[in-house]
Amino acid sequence: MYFDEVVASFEASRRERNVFHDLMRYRVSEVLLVASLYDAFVVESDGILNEQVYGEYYRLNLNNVPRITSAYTGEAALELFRSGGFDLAILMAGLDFDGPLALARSMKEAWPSVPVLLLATNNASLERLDLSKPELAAVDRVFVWNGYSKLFVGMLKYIEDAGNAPADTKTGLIRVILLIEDSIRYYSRYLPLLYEVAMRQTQGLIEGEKGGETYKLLRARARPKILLASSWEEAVSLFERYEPYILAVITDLSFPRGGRPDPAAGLDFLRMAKDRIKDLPVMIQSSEEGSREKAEEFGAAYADKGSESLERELGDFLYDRLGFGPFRFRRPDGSALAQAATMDEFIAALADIPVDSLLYHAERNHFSAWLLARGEIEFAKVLRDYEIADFETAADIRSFIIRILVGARKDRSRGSIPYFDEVAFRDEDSLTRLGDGSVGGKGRGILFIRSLLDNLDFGRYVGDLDVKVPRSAFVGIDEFERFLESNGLWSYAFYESESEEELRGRFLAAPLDEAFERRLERFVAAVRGPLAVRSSGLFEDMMMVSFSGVYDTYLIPNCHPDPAVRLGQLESAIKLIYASLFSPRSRSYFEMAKYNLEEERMAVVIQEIVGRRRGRWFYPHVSGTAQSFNYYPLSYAKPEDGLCVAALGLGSYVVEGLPAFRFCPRYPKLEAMPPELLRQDSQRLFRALDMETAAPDLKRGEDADLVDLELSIAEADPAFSLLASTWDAQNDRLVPGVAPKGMRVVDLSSILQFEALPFARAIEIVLDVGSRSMGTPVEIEYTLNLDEASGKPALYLLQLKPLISPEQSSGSEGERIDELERADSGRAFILSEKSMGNGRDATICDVVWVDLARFDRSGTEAVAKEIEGLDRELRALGRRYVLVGPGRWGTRDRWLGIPVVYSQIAGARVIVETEMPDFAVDFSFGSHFFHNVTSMNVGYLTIPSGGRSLVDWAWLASCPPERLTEHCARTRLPEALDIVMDGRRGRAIICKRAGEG
Amino acid sequence: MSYAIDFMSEIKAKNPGEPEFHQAVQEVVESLVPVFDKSPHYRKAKILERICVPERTVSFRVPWIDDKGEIQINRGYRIEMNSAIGPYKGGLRFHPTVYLGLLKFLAFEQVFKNSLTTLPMGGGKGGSDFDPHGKSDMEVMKFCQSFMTELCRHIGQFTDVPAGDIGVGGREIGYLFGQYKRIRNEFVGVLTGKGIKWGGSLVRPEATGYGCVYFAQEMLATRGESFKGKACLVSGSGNVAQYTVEKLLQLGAKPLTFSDSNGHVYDEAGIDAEKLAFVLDLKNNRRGRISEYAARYKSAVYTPYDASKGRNPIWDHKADCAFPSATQNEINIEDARNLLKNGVYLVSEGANMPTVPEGAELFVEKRILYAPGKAANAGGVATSGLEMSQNSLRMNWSREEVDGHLHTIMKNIHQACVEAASAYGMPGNYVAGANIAGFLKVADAMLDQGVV
Repeated sequence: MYFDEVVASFEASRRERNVFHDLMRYRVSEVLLVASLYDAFVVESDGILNEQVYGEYYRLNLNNVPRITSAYTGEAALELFRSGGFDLAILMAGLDFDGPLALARSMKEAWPSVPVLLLATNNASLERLDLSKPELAAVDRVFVWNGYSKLFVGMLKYIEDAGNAPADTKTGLIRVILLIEDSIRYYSRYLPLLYEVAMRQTQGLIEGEKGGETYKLLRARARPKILLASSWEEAVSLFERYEPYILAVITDLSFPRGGRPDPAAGLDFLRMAKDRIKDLPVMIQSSEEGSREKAEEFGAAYADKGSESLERELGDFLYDRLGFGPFRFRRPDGSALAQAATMDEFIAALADIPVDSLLYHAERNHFSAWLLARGEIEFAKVLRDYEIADFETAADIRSFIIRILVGARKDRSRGSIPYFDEVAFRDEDSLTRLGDGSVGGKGRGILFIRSLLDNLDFGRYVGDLDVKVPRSAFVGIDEFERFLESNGLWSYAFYESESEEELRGRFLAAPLDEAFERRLERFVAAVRGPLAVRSSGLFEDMMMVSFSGVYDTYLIPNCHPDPAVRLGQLESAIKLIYASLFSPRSRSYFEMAKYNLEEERMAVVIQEIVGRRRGRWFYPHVSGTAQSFNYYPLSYAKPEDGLCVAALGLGSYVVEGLPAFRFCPRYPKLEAMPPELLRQDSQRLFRALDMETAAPDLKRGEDADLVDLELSIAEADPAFSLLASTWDAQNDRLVPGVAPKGMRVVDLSSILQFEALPFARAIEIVLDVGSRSMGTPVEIEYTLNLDEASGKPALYLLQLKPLISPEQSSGSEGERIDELERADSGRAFILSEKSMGNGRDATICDVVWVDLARFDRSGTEAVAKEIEGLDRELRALGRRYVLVGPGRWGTRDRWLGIPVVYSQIAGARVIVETEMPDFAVDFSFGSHFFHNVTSMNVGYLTIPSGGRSLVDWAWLASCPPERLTEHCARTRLPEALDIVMDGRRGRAIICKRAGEG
Repeated sequence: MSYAIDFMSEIKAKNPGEPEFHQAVQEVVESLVPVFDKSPHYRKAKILERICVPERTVSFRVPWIDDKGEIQINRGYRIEMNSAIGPYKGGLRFHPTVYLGLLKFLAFEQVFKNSLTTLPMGGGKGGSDFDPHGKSDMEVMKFCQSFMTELCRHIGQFTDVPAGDIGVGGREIGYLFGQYKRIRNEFVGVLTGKGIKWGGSLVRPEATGYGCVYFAQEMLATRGESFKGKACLVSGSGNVAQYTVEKLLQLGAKPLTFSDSNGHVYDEAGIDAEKLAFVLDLKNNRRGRISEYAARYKSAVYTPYDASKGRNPIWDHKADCAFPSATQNEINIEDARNLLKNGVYLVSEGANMPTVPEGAELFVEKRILYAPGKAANAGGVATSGLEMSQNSLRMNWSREEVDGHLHTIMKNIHQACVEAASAYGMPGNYVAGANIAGFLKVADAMLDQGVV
């Protein structure tokens, strides 16, 4: 359901963008100009006609220059014309009109739909034309040249506009300016002028706004079309046809009505038009005496046809009445207040103008006209639909208009990342660019999230919760390349660095590009509040390879009073992220993934950290991860129903695999752990940013200014009662909320059990839409904040990345497992009913294992070191192995398992996690270590107590070890194990001999 | 002894495939050899044979509908093992591993545990293969209601009074009780473990720890001693340990240690009320590690636990008394020797089977005051009985009243153990005394009540 809506919206926005492609489909590309040698000579005395036309097109920055073919005789012309391929014929007539008119008739017989224009060379020759001649019916319009080279462009555009108006108005709601003028002489001069003014102003508007170059070119097609009428009947017909799209009417006072000149026709027409469109901008252009006063009396703009300043007056009309120019804010008395040339300036000014000015412009629909001129038709319509009386206060009007304009601005930037602008970045969920080049994997993910949010109306489904992305700035890979290049670090970083410490030191000492630094300076001046500075490698978060957690992320308080210090922190964070590409952890990962380090490039995402400062600490209410595919679903939940992990405080807590609350988004009331276990194994600390460490030493690592605090510190926040329950020891039960005294258990019970917020539903929708959009299961990182400034809780989506699906089964693994089980139960070394990974492997002879008899929970860090050593030895020998041990592999909490990072067990082919009596093994969902393991299709088996899962420890212990450490052993078996993993059903078996059965 | 062997053969033949039950019976039989030797009438009356067969086994279907509208079917059980000395009493366990054989073995053990409390409680056990894991609160409720809809026919305040166990906590007891009351239209003490506000008893969390100390106090009294000034080692830091220390302080003792799975703290200045409050907050609210105690109180030393050393260093301090309150097998033979070497002459077990059998044998051999868990930690079970008493009286006793009754019960248990041990030629042997006392009360009642 949600996905269909997203698809529909995507298609709609594509259609909207495509609509510009659909505009002005009719083009005059081939023109046949028929002129006698003399007439041609006259016309070309200012230069070859083609070049004149070309010059005009160039001057006006138009493309699609038409080709003009000349013919000097009627016969030649007719022959050429009949062969077809012409879009327009222009027949020049100097002294003789009969010839051209006859030619026109013949042309119409040959190609009736091709327009034919008659062009008198000058006024004098025009006077010789009897306009009542019936032969003129073959001519679509008569013009007079008078040496006016711009006329040709005007004629061509006139024909194109007439041809495109029907489709363009329907397709793109393009506006139409109706020009009513019967004087050939005047409209021959007037029309090109009008086109030029309209085109220039449209281009000027577009240049001033943000957007891609292609988009700008396309938007130029959205200029108003100009239609010419020369009689009352023609004008009325055009008006009725295009009434919803009429932008303005420019008319003479007198023109034919009923076949006779009618001096009242102009005003009558305007009255009629105004009756139907109340606030229609109108202009009277006349040379009659007293016409200016009539115009003023009517309330129309005025241009003196004979005036030298006609162009300026036209321009003023378009500027002032049609919104082409900067918006001039005025008081009711007309005195100027402020001016805004761009949308950003307009929004900024609108926030401050006095109420009387606001009402003055609103009453006159100036705001909507201004939007219309910029092609923001939908938004203009919204404004037009409202009257002043629809609002209670002026403040309501102001905020409504600003909201519409912000929407228009955001809409324009859809799909593109605008460069950083202090004003625009104030918008919540604004995305901006600080450096060129690809934005990398994480950056792509954020942009994709944003596009999903733009295309799905979350408000319909989860009305009590806003869903957004945090404000983010992207530093493209070009800055990374520039940094390495300008500091001579390419070779050093890739091949020569001796230690990670030395590498980081070199990077920190090297300067960033100056221009980039200046942009960062502007950024920190504008942005206060903690920032997450995240890596965004090109390979990060790609399908099949996750690179999750390989590079660094820094959370910086960004609160030092000195902007220079804050800038320094940000720069350090960026450089350290660059350096993390070359860390041993990264190199090890590249090696195992069989990717080329030299091909990777690093972009950086700078994201505002969601949350709030509470005393010394900054943290959000809830953070976590969610996956659309759960390898270990509860009860009747299916794997596709997903899993969400949530904790109070910052999300790195969850990503590191520390105890957090788990639930199924589709069935949030299912208890993943019974209350008795929950009180033992739930979150007892939460992570926050220390805001009093204003200048953390980032060399200490990613956690430089992060602290883990006791839950009691969060109790001062009233929202905490929605997040936790209390263990009532007296009554042996968990009680929602924190009213009674006792142990707090973070279980989000008020939100999930009692539905205080549609949080689970929002997560479910995001996972559904995300996975269907990516075509693969996905994982997200999110933050939920309950006390937003808007008063409405908000769910922020921080990352979206593919989750490697276990659906890679060849189909036969399941059968093979059944077969092996049936064959001989004694053969099973390890049997797991809950496993991940898929495939078969009969090459592994080595087992690295933790000897439970010599193991205790206080020594897990030592065990991790021993495992690392054993792993290194085996990798040096080119041997992969099965790793077996108790608790959660990869957790950072040493009490819950063995705290290895991936590089310490990179040689493991299968990892087996067993329970111990006092270990509540909970699978490490959401931790990046786990994610990496699964993306490499390393088998991951869990052996819970009870059920059929087993490890034959006795057999393993009976095999002589090749190497013993204090807590572990490495055993090499005489024959390879038979490893079979069924990813679809989540089962696996490792048998003691390969190749049998 | 041949009786025991023959008896066991028959037990195994008649209860095939129930190794837990066999083991439980075997342990009881072996400990009762002196009784059978001295009192052959118990053999003649086939008391043991009768005790080994439940008076009643109820097995029933528990259908319920999950949140998705799907019908689920579980199995429910109640084994009413023995009601010679009182209505059946024992917990309900909801766990997917529950099956009849398991419950029978638990019910069998319950008979003697309850008997030892000296309260009028028979023995029983029940449960279901329902797995609370992954269920919603509503589903747990629906299951409990369906379970009780059947069970209510078989239980009652004078018949059978279940309690909680694994998978059955305060929430489940509430749902079960609510459904019973609805069907039977009576508010009675048919379940224990009820909420304080609707018939539960105070002192439940404290009972095991208090009881353990009361029992030890009685043991000391046999030598004319009290707890005043006694140096006491206490392991663990959960409920049992916390309230053991609290009661020790009240009786004038000097507790010296606490521990958790990572290590222990030894405070040579002694743990006082303030320090105890710190530990209560640390463990009950903050879920911290006991090492924080040493960080806070400089008189204390924290020692991490190192399994490779083959002993637990908490038992390697000079002291008078030891209260193992942490976990099973926390005192191995070397620990036992260390305790004796350091002068400990009283061991009262708050945990279940914290001392390995060899260690227990050593304590008995050395004739220290050694209280096995089944006697010393009977306070928890006893409080269930006190809840039943309050319900019968329609009274809610104050904390002091409950504590007073608990104290009396522990005295009685102690007395029963002493008398039984003496009667059968093993004076001072609380292990034997506990086994024999528990058995004798039931056996004598069965004799009195005829062949039923």
